[in-house]
Parts: sequence; C-alpha cells; structure tokens
Amino acid sequence: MPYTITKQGNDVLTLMEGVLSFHQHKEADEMVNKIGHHLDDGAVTAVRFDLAKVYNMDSHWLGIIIRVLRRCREKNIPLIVEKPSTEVKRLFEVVQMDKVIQIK
Amino acid sequence: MSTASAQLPGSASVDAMASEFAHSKVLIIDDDPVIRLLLRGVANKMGIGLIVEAENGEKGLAEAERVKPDVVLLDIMMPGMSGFEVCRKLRAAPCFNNTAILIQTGLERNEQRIECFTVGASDVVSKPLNISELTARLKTHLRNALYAKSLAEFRERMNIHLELAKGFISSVLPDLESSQKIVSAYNYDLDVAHHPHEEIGGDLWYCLPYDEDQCLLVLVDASAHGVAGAMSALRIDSFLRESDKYFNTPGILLNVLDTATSRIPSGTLFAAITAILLNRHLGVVSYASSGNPPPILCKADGIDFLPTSGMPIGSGMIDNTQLDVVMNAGDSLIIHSDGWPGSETDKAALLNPILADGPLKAEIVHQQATKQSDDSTIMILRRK
Repeated sequence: MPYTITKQGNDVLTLMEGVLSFHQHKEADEMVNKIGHHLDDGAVTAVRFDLAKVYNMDSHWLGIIIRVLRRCREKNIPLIVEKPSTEVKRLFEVVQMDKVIQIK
Repeated sequence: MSTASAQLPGSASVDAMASEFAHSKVLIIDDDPVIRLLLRGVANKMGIGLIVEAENGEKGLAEAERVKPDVVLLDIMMPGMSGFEVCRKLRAAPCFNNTAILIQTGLERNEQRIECFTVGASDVVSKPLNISELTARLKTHLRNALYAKSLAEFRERMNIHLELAKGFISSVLPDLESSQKIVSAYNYDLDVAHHPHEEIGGDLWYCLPYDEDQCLLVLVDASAHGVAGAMSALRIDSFLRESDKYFNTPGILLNVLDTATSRIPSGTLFAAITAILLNRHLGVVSYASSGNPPPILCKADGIDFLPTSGMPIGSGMIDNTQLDVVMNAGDSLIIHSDGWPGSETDKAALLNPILADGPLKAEIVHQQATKQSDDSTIMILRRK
C-alpha cells in the first residue's frame, strides 16, 4: 500500500492509493504511528486523508481510520477525508463515520 | 556400464556442509559398483546423513519405498528395468512428488536428455561425471528438499493452529436448528447464513434468551478477516457474555460494549454489531445497530431500510439509541454484515421474490448477494 505523509502548512496530509485491505496491516500500523508522531510534535491543525486514488478499502482500514480519529479527538483536531470514491464514501456512511469526520 | 573420471571436491567446505545435510537421505541406483562407490564418496564428503545403494531398478524402487529419499541419483542404462522406467514409476507415486531425481547419463543426444525430463527427472548430469558439478547440483537439490520439508512442517503447524482457532469460533456459534426452536417459542421464524470468507472469520451471531418473554439476537462483524478477525470476534464474545444483564436493552448493551472494547490498549478492536430484542407477546422488536448496514424490514406492502445509529463499537464514540419497529405477522426483518454490498434498490429487488412465501432462505440470499472477499452473515427473522 503506497502512502506518503507530508505536512501542508500545519495540516498532516496522507495520500494513499490502491486497494486497502488487511494484508497491509504492517504498513497501516506504521502509518498510524507516523501520523501520531506528527500529532505529538504539536502545531497540527488538521489530519487529512486524500483517498482519490483508493479504489476500495475493507473494514480493517475503517478501524485504522478510527484509530487515527481517536488520536485526533484527544488533541481536538479535525480528521478530514478527501475525494473518496463512491464505494469508499458509502462504506463510511454505512458505519456512520460520515457523522464524526468531515468528508470532502 | 558407466565410467567416471573426476576429482573429488576439496574437503575445505565439507565440514560446513556436514551438519546442513545431516538429516538428508540419498538413494544411489546404479548397476556399476565403481560408480556407486564414487557417488557414495561424494555424498559422504557432503555429510549426507543416510546414503543407500541399489544395483538395479527393482531394488532401487524397493529402497525408495523404504527410506523415502530426498534425492535419487539414478543411472539410465541398466540391465533389466531402465532408469527411465524407474523414474516413471517413482513419479507415479504421490509420496515421491517432492523427491528430486537426478539422472546421470552418458546419452548425449538432445532428445534423449529431453526424455529424461519427460519421465520426471528433476535434473540431468552427464557421464563421465564432473564431481564438482555433481556436488553443486546435489547440494542445490538437497537444499530445495530441506526448504520444502521446512515449508511442509510450517504448513502442518499452521493447519493445526487454524483447526484449533476454528474450534474456538465453532464453540461460541449457536447451533442453527436449536436457535430456530428457541426463536419459534417467541413466535418468530429464524434462518441464518454464516460464511467466513477464508477458513475462519470475524463474523459471529447469537440467539440469547433473556427471559421467557424476551430473546436477543445479535450479529457481530469484527474488523479484519481470517485469524485476526476471529481473535477480535472472540474478544467481543467475552465482553458480550459478561454483559448479560443488558440483554433486554440493546441500546445500552452496545454502549457498554463500546466502552469495554475501546479500552483495549492497542486500539485495534472494532466491530459492527446489531442487537435485536424479540418479545413473545408484543408485535414490536427493539433494536440497536452500530456500524452494520441498515436492517431491512420486509412487509407485504414494501421494504424499508431501518435507521441505525453509531459507529462501530471499539471507537469509544458511540451513543447508541434503541429504536422500536412494529412487526406484524408475516413481516420479515433482515440483518446482515457488510459482506452484502449493493444499493438499497438492488437489495429490495433481490429480496422481494425470495421472501414472498414459504420457508426463509438465508442461504439463497447469501448466494445471490454477497461478495466473495468478505465474511458474510445474513439473519432473517419472520414474525409468525
């Protein structure tokens, strides 16, 4: 699962691509830790996920997003999901995550 | 009769190899005692643990059956049964599928060498033998055999672990027929299709009588698949069974489970869950659902997708509301995990003919609706 994490101003932006499944659990853990380090460093105004190139994701990855969301909530920082495909957006809606995160 | 002309390899690397092949087994089938002696010498130098010889094809097959060698060094031109025939017979027996057969031949023509591979040889070495080359090839095949054996042992261990894990999951899943009898006593019919995507999965379902009037049905879809999904599901199972005093209040039950699971230190335990409380006397069921697709209510005049509330349990963020829904005689309620994708229109179109009349058919819904890449559970409930 290729992903890149960058700082854009004070936002932490994570770009992901491909199909996200539990097979990439190691990369997922690594990604959560890296975002966590950014959050611990302070001065973060938002955590953003760019999912434009994500074709599909499974429930394991919903769990990963929830883990990041919990970290964001501890810091009172919004989590924003950007450009999800129709299918991925529907997945967020099924589990009602669209009510607690911003989807753009 | 074959001849050999070669230098035995130096002994410098022999010590290092000795332990590597200490448990390996080599069978030499050759009618020439000088060649057999030479090959035994090579094998000895390599530290191969068991070296067995046979002077013809028939004895060679018998020895192969007895010792199950890792590598057979086989001569082609022998009186009686030829090396080709020996090779064919070995390959015909499944127990020698992973045995390397290294043919030594003085046959020079391409077609003859190709014939060696056609009958099942793993490799061919030319006579007169080049001992350095023979040693190198033998080493390669013995190492492959060791890797294959190690992989087979690993697979066997994993299969045992998987069987044990499947046993754990089976032990918490209810028996469908018993559950149908229980639910029938509450004036409902029940059918369930439960299919893990792999050998084992993270979906669970329950039929939990609360008292003589009320019975709780639960569907759990733990995040991840396979053994990881099953481990998550078993943790949810523990929390659920400890929360039996809330079995008559699905909304509170889900909030309690969310609080409990969100305290797991790793923060990796999440599950979608739907709980439905039946009442023997009332035509109303109470339900709460977190993270699962909306329950589907099928009435004579149409299909409704019921509202749900809340994210998956484990998020620590749910504030679940319990809802009530009226169920008249003949109405069906379907709850399912997210292994059934598709739009509400698609689902309605599929369900209409299946639920029209007769017995409930959860398996048919499963076969026609679910995707192959996820665990899938479908529970159908119909009020009598």
